[in-house]
Amino acid sequence: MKPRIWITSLLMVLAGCGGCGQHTQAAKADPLLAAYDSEPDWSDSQKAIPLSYQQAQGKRVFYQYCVWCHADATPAGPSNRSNLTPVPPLLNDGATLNAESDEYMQNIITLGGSALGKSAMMPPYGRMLSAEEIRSVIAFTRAIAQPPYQPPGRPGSQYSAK
Amino acid sequence: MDSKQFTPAMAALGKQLYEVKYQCQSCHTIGGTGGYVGPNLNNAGNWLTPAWVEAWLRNPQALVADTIEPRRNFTENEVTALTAYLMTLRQGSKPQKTAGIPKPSFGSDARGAGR
Repeated sequence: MKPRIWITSLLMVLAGCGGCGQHTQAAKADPLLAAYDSEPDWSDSQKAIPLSYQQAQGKRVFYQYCVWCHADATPAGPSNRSNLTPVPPLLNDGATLNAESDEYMQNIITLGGSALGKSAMMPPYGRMLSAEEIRSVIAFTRAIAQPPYQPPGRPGSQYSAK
Repeated sequence: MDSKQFTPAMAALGKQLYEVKYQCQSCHTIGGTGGYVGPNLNNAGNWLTPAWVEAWLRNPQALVADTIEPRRNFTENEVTALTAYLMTLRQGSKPQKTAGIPKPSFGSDARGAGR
């Protein structure tokens, strides 16, 4: 009687451990959890850029609406960018976009290119995307910019120590 | 609006709006030029109805919730003009002559009675 109980309890312990191991592995391997937490550096695929919550929201909006013209490759294949004149800037083109303020970016996405004297091929998204979604796309733009984006410094306070 | 009420002047204004003011060719192809984000519009006049095009231009997301066609702020006049222009875009609907295949015998107008 006693050895039988001992063997049974040993089996139960082994089964429990096996389950524990599998559970840990399954939680680690879920690719959806990691889909938006980083973006590969467009100019160096070995590098991944970690994204904040807001930047991750911007990545989601970008890959739905903007990628077709502001990237050279899209989830559906080659992009429409080379069909357009003037050629739209790549979203990570820091040399072009770093010089534009957040306000300017918000305006051109909301109102479209023609409202700011740019190409009318850039349509307005103010009636499709919320102001917050547009802000998140700008945050994503800043995150992936090459050369990296430097936010404008605050003007020096007249009260600061000299 | 019924397509019979569209005038050539409306269609001309619509072409102007399409090509210059709104530059729809960034995403749509007509003839051999344009983009590939939205559908090719070469046969829009046969493929779509005027009422549907007008509703689409007013609010694309009302018809297809997740479409990426941007919702614009067209005036009613612009909606009518763009629709008139798109309705003029028709590709030949008669079957091409093909050697070796006997000609079908069901009348000369292959468009059928529906149109």
